[in-house]
Amino acid sequence: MRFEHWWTRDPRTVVRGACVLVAIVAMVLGGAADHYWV
Amino acid sequence: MFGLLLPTLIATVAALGLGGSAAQLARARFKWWSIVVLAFAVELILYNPPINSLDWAIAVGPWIWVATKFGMLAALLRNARHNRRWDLPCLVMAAGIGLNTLAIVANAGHMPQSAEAAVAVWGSHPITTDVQIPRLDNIVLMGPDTQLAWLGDTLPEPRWLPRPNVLSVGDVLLALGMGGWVFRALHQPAPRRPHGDLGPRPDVQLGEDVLHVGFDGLDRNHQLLGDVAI
Repeated sequence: MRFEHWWTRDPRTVVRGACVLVAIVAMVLGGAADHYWV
Repeated sequence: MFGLLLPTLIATVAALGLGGSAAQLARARFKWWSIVVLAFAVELILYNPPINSLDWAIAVGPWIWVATKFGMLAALLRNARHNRRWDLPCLVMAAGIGLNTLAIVANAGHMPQSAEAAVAVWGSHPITTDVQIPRLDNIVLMGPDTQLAWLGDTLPEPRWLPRPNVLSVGDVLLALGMGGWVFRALHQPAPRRPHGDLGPRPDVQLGEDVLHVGFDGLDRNHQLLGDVAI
């Protein structure tokens, strides 16, 4: 499945996937106890 | 930083290699995910210029940091129970953040860090290099008064890793738990309905799965569905 095809037919899925990715990074880096984001 | 995300990256590659799909990630459900993102945003703002040098931030910042940890913990516990079953990855992540929070609270809002481990990673301890400028910092050098030192940052990452750091036991649990959660999210098969179940489905949305089900029905029943509205 090409990305453009997926985006055109179901943009909400792409946005939802992006939100999940952001939450994953936030959980790991934010949950850890140091300046891991620096 | 890279070391913490490494289990997640490995889980992603493994899941995709074993037949998983990146699109599955968008179908994953994590309740209260916005609280997690908000908590991380607060940490970013609090511990970076210009906020980290303000008096109020230095005074109450450590406890705001603790509050963000409790927010993340609440989100994980909200997701730890699903369909009357415990969710192992969420429980492992919750244990990791819980242990980190315990160490932070026991040390007045700071995570104790082993000087030996810091030297092993950076060659010097970062909080001793810039002591003239008062600023909010979230780690403190381990000393005789340190509480729960075994929960502090004592595990040096290999120096060959990009942006190496010193990990705590809680950090390791958190990273492994997230790796497990991502692997399951990417690898679990999409729910499929039986071929014979072609009845009305009022709760579905138009998408790839619906179309696939329709074509499966066409193959099985040898019926022309070209004029049927889907």
